[in-house]
Amino acid sequence: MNRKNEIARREFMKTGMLASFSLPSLLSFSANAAPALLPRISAKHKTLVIIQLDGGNDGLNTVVPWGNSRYYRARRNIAIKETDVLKFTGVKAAEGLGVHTEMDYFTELFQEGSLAVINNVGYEQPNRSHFKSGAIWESGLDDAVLGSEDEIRNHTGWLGRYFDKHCAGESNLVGAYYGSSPLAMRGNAFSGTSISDLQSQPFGFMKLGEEMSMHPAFRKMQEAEKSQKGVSGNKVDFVRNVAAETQTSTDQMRKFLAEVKERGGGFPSTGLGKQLGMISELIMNGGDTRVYLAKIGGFDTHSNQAAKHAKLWKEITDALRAFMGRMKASGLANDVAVMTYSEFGRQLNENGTKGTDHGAAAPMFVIGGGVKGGIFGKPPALKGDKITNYGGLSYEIDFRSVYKSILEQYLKVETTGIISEKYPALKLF
Amino acid sequence: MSTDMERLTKKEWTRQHAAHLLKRASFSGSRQEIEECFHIGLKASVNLILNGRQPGSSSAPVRKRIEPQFLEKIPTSPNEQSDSGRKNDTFFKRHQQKLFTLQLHWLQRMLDGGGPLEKMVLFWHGMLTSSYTKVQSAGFMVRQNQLFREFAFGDYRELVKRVLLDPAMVVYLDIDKNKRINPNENFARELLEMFTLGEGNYPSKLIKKIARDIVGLKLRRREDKLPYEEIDLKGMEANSGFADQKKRLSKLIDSIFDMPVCGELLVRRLWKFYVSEDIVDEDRVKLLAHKLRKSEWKVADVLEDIFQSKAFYDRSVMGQQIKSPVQFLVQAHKETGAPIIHPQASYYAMQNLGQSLFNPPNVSGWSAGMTWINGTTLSARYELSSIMNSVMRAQDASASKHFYSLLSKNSDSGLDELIKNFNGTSLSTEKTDLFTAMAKRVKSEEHVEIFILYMMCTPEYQMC
Repeated sequence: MNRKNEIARREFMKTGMLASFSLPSLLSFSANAAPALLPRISAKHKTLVIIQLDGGNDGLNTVVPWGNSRYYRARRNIAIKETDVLKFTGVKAAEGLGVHTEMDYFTELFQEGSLAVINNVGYEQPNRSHFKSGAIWESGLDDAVLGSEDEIRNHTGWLGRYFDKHCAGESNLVGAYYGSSPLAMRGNAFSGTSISDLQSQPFGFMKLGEEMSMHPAFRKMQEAEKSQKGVSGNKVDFVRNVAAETQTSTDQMRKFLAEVKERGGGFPSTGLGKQLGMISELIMNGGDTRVYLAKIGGFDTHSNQAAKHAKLWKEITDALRAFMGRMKASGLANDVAVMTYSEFGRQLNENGTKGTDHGAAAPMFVIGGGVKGGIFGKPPALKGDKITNYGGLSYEIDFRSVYKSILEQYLKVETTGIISEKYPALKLF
Repeated sequence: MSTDMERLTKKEWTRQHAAHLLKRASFSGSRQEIEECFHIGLKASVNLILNGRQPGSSSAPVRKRIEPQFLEKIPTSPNEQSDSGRKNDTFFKRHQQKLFTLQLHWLQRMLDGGGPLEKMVLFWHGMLTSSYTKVQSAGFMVRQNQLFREFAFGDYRELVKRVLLDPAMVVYLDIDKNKRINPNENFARELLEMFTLGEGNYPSKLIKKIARDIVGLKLRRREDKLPYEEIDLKGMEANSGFADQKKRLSKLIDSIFDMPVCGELLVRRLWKFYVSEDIVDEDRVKLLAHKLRKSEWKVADVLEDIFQSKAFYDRSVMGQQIKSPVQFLVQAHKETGAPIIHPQASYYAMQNLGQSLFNPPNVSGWSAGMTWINGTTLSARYELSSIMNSVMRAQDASASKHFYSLLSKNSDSGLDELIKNFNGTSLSTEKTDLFTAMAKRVKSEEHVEIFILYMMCTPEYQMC
């Protein structure tokens, strides 16, 4: 029996049902690496880390308008009690605002001036479908060119257009994501690289690929694939492109991780904690990635919201504390910025099942990266035309103005053709 | 591609068309089935398909519900220790195991003689969806799965009525949590957006009305029991208000189906699922939606038109759909000659390819098409191909044995058959040249195994 068969059998055993109910993390983090001893690292470029809050985060229980009695009247069961709110202090614009009880690290960040809270972010004619609104956020297109969800998904995404325009000639590693291939990173020449399985199944396939590439015919076949890249734009070519890119970028990623000097560590073993741990490792070792997309789901809190929402924000707070701590200790605090967003916020009034239904505008956070800390935009007024006809919050700041600010003032690139001129940049940096 | 529903003529009908029909309307066909499908002709084949039967297969579809026996023992292995900190580990694993057992049973149905029936059931599972993760009852999921099987090619409107008051959906969409004061809008929104009218085609006040109208359903949960007859629905159905609720919901759904736009969403989803992910021509949608309404919502009537249309056999359609993970898995079993769904291969596929049966990621089911493929899932497909290669080796009537005997007789015609068997779309000349060179070098059955593994790791193999 040849080597290929042994490999196949080994793979086979490895993926056996009983043995893989939980796959151990093979990239073991050295949990005790003291942050203070980390060497200072000089960054080649700025890095953006996006945390996507999947399901529609309830903005009003995240940045809590405790100074507004309408909030308490609308939410008899699920409002965050004034005494439990972690209040922002020191700035006039922050009066009456604070964060959820679990979000203590956010008040620290606010104190030190590295947290921007952007109130009432959304867009004209808000859509309340998770999927369509998510596509709108990911596309970052001008309202005028948006169409049905299918049509939007046939366009490029805002980060994809940034890669196309400013990262031409680089590999697909400029974007790295968890979860399924994001519309946001889809450009004409880029689609981003998945890093979901770097921890759980390191390169099982590549061992197989290596075996196969030992056969001259297979190597030739691979070369033939690469030379045919992107011929006609049909579906087979799409798969062919992903195959060629996967081979290139996994090769690079493998080489990169083999030479890794700095290990992550001290990250909580939650879903987001593991993602940010891996991202920190890639950043600290000087990876080429400009934008990382991390993901946390479960925000569609139609019922019994309080406990679920608290758990989610605790997970984010703990992961972020570890992540920013690591970046600071490595001297990268100004070279890494974190942005959070969700496809929509939720309605002002709680529903009948101690939860909230789909709404519209909600706050966004931008952290680190030399951001001008503080509050952007007014606190939600919760009355009159600040409430949409179905009880969501009206938007005051367009989400594309946030994107544009990050692109122009932080990543320092020109945004014609990426974000429409209709949306002026905020001044976040 | 024209926009009408002109039919393919008898003269135009080829073996290639037969193979395409079986891939899309079922989970592909064996050599004999394709031959039989070609011989009886398009009309007769579509007739069989719309009765849930696989043309050329002697075994009839099984129409009773899947009834898995769950293992009592919870598996343990040293690996599991590493994921510590989960307090209810046992609970978690028990559910994992139940879910996987359900998956295996359904996959076997897909592989057996009822391919077309099960493909339709899979369609409904993706559209009128519920997930095990939320429902957490194997019995409820089996009931819903069986409801899809009973209606299959039948009455869409009646199915929507039935599925909404079926326990899996009641739990999945929080219908039982809807209270008269401050109603929960979850189920009302999904009913309109995902099941009937589609996004943008309904006024917000309709959501509020539905949410107000259907309140106070009660569902008592109980641990799964075998057989499923023992699932306790008394809590819901014996409730004094239940009959009224049912009547009110039925009326509401009738009024939704009376809206002219209703039906178009289903046609779009059917087109996407069976034909092409490219944007559907609106005239064609209207045409088919009209037909659907006229037939009193009988899905078979629309599919009959689709499967016999020229458009379905267009060059932009044949071999141009990216296989879903389930299609990939079931088709690979057929192609390699494995009659029994392989547990390890299936477990790997369900975990890593992006489609876990009975457990869609959200209320829109799976987004399919290009989203099936990214670096991670493509690598996982290669791994699965390697697993299927090992599965093939263990079969008595394996594809590698069959093709080895063909190739040793004549490498050209043998290769021709091999490519036909394993490739979803036509190969480039470069690749055909390479394969021809490889075919000439085949000296043993093991060489054929390696050859097949190569073929399964091509972009073309990802298509159907």
